[in-house]
Amino acid sequence: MNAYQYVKPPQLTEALRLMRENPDCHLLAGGTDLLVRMKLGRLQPGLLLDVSQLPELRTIREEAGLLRIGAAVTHTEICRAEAISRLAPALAGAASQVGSPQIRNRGTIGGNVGNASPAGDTLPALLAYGAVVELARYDGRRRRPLKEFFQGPGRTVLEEGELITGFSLAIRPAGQAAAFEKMGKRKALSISVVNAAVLIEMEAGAVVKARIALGAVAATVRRMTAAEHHLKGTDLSDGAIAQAAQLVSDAVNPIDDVRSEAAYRKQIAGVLTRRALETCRRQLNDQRE
Amino acid sequence: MAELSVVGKSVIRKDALDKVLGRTRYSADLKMPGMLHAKVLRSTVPHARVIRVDTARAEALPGVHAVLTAKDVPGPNGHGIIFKDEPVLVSDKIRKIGDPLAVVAAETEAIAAEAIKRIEVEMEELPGVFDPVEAMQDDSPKIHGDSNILALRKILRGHPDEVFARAEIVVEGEYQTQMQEHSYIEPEAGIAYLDEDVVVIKASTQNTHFDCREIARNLALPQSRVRMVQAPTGGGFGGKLDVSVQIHLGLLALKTRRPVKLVYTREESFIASSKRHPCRIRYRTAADRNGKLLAVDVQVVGDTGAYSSYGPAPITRLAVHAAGPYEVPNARIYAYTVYTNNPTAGAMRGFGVPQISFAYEQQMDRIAEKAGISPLEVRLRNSLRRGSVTVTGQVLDIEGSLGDTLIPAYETLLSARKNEALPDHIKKGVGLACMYYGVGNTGQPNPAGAFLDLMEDGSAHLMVGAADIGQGSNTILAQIAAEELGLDFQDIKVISADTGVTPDGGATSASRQTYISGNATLEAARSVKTVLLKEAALWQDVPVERLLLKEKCLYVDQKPSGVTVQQLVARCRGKGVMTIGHGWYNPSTVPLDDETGQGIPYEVYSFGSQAVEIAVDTQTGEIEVLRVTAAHDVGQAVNPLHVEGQIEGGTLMGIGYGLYEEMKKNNGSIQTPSFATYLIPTALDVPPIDSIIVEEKVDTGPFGAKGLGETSLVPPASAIANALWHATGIRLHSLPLTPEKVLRALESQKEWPDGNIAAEEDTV
Repeated sequence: MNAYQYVKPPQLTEALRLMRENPDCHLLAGGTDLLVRMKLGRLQPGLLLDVSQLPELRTIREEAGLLRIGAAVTHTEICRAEAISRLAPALAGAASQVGSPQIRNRGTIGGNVGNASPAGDTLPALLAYGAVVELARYDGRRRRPLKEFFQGPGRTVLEEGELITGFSLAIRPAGQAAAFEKMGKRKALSISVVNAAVLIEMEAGAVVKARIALGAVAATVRRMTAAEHHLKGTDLSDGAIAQAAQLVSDAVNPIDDVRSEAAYRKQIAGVLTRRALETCRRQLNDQRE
Repeated sequence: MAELSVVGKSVIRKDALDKVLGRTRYSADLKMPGMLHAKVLRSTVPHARVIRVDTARAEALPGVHAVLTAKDVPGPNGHGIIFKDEPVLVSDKIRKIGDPLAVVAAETEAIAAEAIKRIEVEMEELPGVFDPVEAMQDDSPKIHGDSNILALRKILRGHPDEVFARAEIVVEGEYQTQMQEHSYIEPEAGIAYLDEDVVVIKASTQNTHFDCREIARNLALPQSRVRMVQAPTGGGFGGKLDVSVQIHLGLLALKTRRPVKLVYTREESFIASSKRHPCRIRYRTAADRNGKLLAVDVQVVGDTGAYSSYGPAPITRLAVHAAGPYEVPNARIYAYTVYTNNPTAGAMRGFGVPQISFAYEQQMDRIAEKAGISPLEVRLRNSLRRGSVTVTGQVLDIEGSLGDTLIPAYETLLSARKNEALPDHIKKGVGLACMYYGVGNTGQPNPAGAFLDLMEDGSAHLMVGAADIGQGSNTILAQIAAEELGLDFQDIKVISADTGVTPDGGATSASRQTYISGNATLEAARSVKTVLLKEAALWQDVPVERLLLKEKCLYVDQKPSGVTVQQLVARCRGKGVMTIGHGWYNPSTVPLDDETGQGIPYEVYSFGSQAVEIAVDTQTGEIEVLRVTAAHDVGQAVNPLHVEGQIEGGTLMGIGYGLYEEMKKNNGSIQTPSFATYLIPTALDVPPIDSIIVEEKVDTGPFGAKGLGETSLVPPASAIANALWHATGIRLHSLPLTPEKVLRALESQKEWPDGNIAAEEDTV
């Protein structure tokens, strides 16, 4: 590992200035992805910019119909935050299945998204909740829907000098349910073979909103639009769910790799979709009772 | 036998506290003034002719003290446990990825790493061979010499062809097992320095005396000028029987005359170390209509990779255990050990037996099915027992039978089963697997020695060659010595695995140290006890037969005499009589005949049985192990807590072998060189494991003890495979039992609900 500089700016403006002045800088929050890449020699930072304690990136709050989660909030904090368990339980579920306790204590949601792995566990959950990514640069801020954020494995729309400050999710209305499902090869420290998150809103017994997001089945996490359209207007019957699961299985385009096989992933994509939809249906039934 | 005071007690091992508190200093923690850091240049291609290794640019780098290549090896440039076919540094031919081409010593690790990058290697790549069956063909690329068949072990008994021709039940199967990594927590590491004219090497190892012989030969030094000391070792499981850092460190220390340290990265450890042999197995079993076994016909090809390492020995042990713990009067077993350009396979806990168990235990269930009896019954009916003749012609003189472990394992599992409503897609099943395991090396002399010095204050030094790699031999051997001398466990200080001090203990492998070093220790202690009791008899004027040592005192006629062991030692020493002793033990065996494999491979065998319950998710193919009950006969549990630790650890490693672990390769290149891609069970994947200790004492063991280090790893994968069949009706023939394979088999079962789903069909 070559020498590098380490700076921990106290405020976001300072961080953005340093990013502008040091094009070879890399952001450090939990370091759970960064250090692996440094160790493998795939990345040699000139400057490590520690953003893990920037106040704006550390908060979770409800405001104006939105749930806002700072980028440097750790997975453990997401699992334990009352607001997230209440308003975005499927995101808490996804965060609870990342890595191991040590990794969840260090790793952050902004890092998970910025790393843009097709298998990242919080990504489908954020997509299902229709999350918007908040970005900042020395010359301004912008917001982008998460579904337009990923461009490929490890590639995003982030521009030079730009960082993720947080995510905002619409606050859960009545009649909404969401679920996260993951298939891994063991019970901890397991990179997903496939993961899936589903969000359903129903009114008067009919689905009015459906979002289905799958991970590890394409170059980026993906929304499954055909299955989403199919579910709209249905009563989430067994038949509707089975059909949606089939549409997901047909739509995904996974690969063979050291972790699994394409054909298996295709099949599991359908299974996880069905299980997540069944969980949503159960939650909605419980809400009615 | 008199009541035991120290043996049979779960004393707390002496190294436990330091390890828990992080105070143990492993090789990587060692530092010396003026110490240099070493790195190895390794081949990245699997097969090539080396034309030139140019080290000039590396040597020119400031801070570099030595860059050594093959020409710098003073002695013969080859090492290996059985054959010396592995170069210390490659001179002419690369045979696998990871072959060492040069070693560097430099002021810092970073400089050493930079120097490695500056070495230029000119080579001509050669076509490789990566499939062991292809490697056996005449026209395949050759790794060493003119044949890739390193060894063929044959075992022939009775008339198998005649029996198969008329047998009422014949079951045939093809099985395939994978390459498994040892996954010890500590990667290979060591340090070397000069102590006057002696090269001292401290390293993580399972066999210091073997290492010493290798280093001395390669360095062209007398063995007395090489002192090999085992550093605290973070696991070995067979993978640290091969030399790793030792010879390279010796060369560099001699050359630079400075201390040198070498620590492998995890990736380097994965790439350079030996593995468990992947095996292809064709297995035919003949039985009568009652399920009584009549014959087996077994063909095995084991891929040993580029170098022999322990190679032929695990495959020989595999062949000897090929019929399992069952009476089989007729056998033809052919087991090939074959070179390829793959990573080397050598010793790994279980030493070939987990592979063949996966075949013979599934065969047993299939025989039971055809005979219309239960998996339990088929095993009880065929159990080896006193007077049984094994496939090598050995007549067994044993207590009991498989039922002594199988019945408690099975009943404990059944009583723990929960009868709960399950979703339709979850299927539960129970599976059984049994094993036996010969203690010590197969039909070979494998002695171990011990020295004991009982000092004036009644405390003693016990010096043994046996390497404690975490399994606890230092504790066990201290218990044995303390028991024999009537001392406390704390009175015995064990110094182990140091060729400057201790006698040869042989390898910490083959589940042999409790039995063989235990017997050596017992003899050393007994010889000191003889001196003490002889003096006591004179002193007290009582015949020796009425004396014994217990609770640090002399007992006369089973009663304390008031004379302490300390007083006895003082009296001996006062008369100029030394209270020192030595002992050694070599199990009596008869080598296997080259043609027929007949002989007496082991003096004693450990038996065991496991029962598992699993749940199969038929939508995803996932197998969850709900419970394992593991009953193992250990003769005498010298330390029951250690026995439980060995049973739990081995069982978990066996579950990893069954469900998760596979060193995937592509043209000799490891595709899973990290714990992110090579998956072993995590703490969350550990099911409840009930350890059931069965004690059928052997006259020849120390206080009746046998070995148990490897036994519990043998059954889990086989038992899970049998449970999978019980749960779902599918039978998998290759390890590991991945969700992908399970789901594929379930899909084909749906397509042909009446048909047999296995590709290789039962033939009758």
